[in-house]
Amino acid sequence: MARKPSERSHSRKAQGGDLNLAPIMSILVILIPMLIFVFQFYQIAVQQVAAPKMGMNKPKETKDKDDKPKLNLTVMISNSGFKIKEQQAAGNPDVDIKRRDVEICNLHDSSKNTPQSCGSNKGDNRRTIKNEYDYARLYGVVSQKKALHGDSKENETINIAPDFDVPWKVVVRTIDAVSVKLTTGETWTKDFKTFDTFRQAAPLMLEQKIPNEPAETEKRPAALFPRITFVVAQ
Amino acid sequence: MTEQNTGDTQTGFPADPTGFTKAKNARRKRETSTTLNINSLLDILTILLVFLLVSISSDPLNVQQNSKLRLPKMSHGCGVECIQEKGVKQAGECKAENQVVVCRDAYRPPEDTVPITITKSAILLDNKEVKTSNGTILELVCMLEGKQCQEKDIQDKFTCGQLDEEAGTKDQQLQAAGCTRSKVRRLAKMEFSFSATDKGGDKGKFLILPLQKELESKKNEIEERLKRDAQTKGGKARKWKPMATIIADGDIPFRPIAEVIYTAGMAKLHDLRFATIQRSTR
Repeated sequence: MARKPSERSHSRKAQGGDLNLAPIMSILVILIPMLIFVFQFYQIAVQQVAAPKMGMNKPKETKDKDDKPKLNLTVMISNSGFKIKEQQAAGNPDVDIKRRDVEICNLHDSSKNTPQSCGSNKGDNRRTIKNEYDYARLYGVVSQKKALHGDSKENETINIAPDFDVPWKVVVRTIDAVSVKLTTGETWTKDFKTFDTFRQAAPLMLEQKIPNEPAETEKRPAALFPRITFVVAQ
Repeated sequence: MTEQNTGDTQTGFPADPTGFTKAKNARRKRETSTTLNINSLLDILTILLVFLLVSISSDPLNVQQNSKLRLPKMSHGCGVECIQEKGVKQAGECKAENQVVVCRDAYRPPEDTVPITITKSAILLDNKEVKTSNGTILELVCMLEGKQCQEKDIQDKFTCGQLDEEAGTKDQQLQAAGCTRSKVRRLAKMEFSFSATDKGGDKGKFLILPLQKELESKKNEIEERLKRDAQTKGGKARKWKPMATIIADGDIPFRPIAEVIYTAGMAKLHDLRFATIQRSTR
């Protein structure tokens, strides 16, 4: 009579077919550090701009649908600071914003970089940036002009006219300062008392329609001057 | 069996009547046969591998920052999008009344865009160097105090700029890294320009001829690819709006960037975007 094979010997045979994972592990151990090296730990965002207008526009009376004069702002960037031109301005003078020394809160944990946690005393938590462009005042001037003219589609564009020797990062920070409405509370703020409060201010988030799905809404930053046009003096 | 009774013949010790050696041997056997279970570790690594591969392959720009390319930072981005009814396919270009400007914390780069990278030393189109008519590489010439910039100058500019922008950098740290006020002032005098030969002999011109040629061929290449894809699928070719994304180093002055923007416009890439790194503060 045939004997039933013992369970121990039977299970041992089955175990003998275990997959050897060591080579796969070796590949993964090489592949993963390589991919981590290539991986970006920062997020890339893009900003759309209109193709440049060559030469400065001649001032002309442009009016929107409600017969209100159209706001046609130009921010000129030079090595001395900003100059804001309202091209068809009804007697409004150009606004000069000179570069100045600004003091910023400089804690390692940038989430704690609030004026409250930084304190008002000069100390280790504060650093002075010499001869900085005054983006806070720029925001204050353009947002007040926008508030006077309203949120119509005609008033969405701002012209940026940098001098040729102005670094690209200054141009980008200027666009960043004028493209969305900022807030420190519930309504959008038109003036910031300190450079720090401007730096830390969050964009005003509004419930807006989702493009391609107009029936649904999402919370997005409210636009101030989202259409950017470069002006290049030839 | 005889060995058990008479003792260990190899060691010469007498047999263990208590069976202690036997138990010890069995324990040793059990201990040596235990292997590390790497299945769960393998699972983690596989998930990590898939995540990294998906993240890397889904990035249309694939920007690698180094001392010659440090992107400027921005807290959000805006762009024009088209409002249309759900399920209605867009035919041709978006009408002006359907266009809406949308701002987002991180406005993602679109697919099928032509990436133009401007580093401190060269210009890259789709991560490849641009060749001039002579077969040389299209360079962005860096000059500092009348001489061509050294590698060390570029490295110093990168180090000092990065330290200056980092949260928590103290003045003492800047000094320790050799970023003194006088050095920073000296490095700020760096000038970047394309050579006159690349602009048809006139340095004052904005059109960079080798770049225009390459941009046009790149644009045609994308259009051909879309046509081929449509033919293989048996449908109509997808309408492609020619667009370029400019990935420029933050220290480069506006002039060379304006020249690249102008050249892109001349190559009929009218829809322009520029890439930045997203950050929470301004």
